[in-house]
Amino acid sequence: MENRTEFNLENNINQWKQELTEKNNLTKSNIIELESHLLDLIQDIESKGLNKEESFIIARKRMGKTNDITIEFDKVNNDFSYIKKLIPYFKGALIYITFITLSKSFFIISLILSISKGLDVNNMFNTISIILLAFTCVTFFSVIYLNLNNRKTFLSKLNNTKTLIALIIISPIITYRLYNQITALGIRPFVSSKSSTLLELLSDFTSHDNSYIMETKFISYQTFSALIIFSVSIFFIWKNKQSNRLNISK
Amino acid sequence: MEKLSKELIGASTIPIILSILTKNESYGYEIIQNIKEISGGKIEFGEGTLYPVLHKLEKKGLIESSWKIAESGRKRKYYNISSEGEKELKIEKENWTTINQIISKIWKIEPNLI
Repeated sequence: MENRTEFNLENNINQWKQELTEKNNLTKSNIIELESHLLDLIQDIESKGLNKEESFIIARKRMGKTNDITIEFDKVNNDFSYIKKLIPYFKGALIYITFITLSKSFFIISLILSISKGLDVNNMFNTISIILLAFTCVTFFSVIYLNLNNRKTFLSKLNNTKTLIALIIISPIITYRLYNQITALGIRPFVSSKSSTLLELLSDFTSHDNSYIMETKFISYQTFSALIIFSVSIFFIWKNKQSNRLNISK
Repeated sequence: MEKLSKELIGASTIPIILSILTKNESYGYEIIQNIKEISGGKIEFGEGTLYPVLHKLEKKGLIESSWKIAESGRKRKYYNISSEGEKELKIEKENWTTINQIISKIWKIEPNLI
């Protein structure tokens, strides 16, 4: 006997709504209205003796193809769809700003960590910087991947506008505080190699020109990471546009 | 039973919707069922494509809408004709009567649209 998985009406309706949401020209209220219509249709068809699955299939067909619906809605939701099409670009800019502000915090953190670890400050700084920036890049790619697969996990929440804005606000505050700490230490008298505490080590460090060289190095790592993110984004935009074009021609 | 052409349905959509809404406030699904019933199935909208028409009428100020909770407990958007809509319907009625009279004259039959 054929073993069929049980039909889940709610899941199927959510999937249909997701398809509509992905088109850029329907508002939330439009989708609620269409959902209510679909449910009325399903109820009506069910009352004629068909089961949930059959009713859903017929109702969905009678609602029309998603593309036809969106083309019609596009005629009235012109302004809205234009704004909604721009949102990904704003989000892209937000992600980039977040990356830059986080990088600055990473620079200071790398600096403090490498100094606190003692001996080979230069190498340690390079390693920590690269690890932190690589981590940011991996997070960024994971966010893209999870969003493309519509999996609602913790990482995909990082792409949330509120999270990005919170990071943009909090990260400079942390950076500013850490910078202040270093600058304040720089004013202190030179302690030389006898320094043992972290604060003294920082003071040692800032009294040399090392800070300038490291910052320049860090900027080059940062630019390299930003270039990777940028090229991957361009690739995704191009891929997305191509699949959209295919969908339209189909 | 032959269905009416897309162009003819398109031209008559506004007066039909406005006429239905003069009787009572109504929602998308009910409006479609009403049209289907009155036209004897000759006019059938793609169910999802009625809403853009309703929203266009709302933008023009011919109808008004409000969200209400239906008996089923679901949110439902109800549409009502506005005073502007009533004026528009009056003009539409005159236009369709004129067209009916012209065609009837050409075909030498008596006009019967009120």
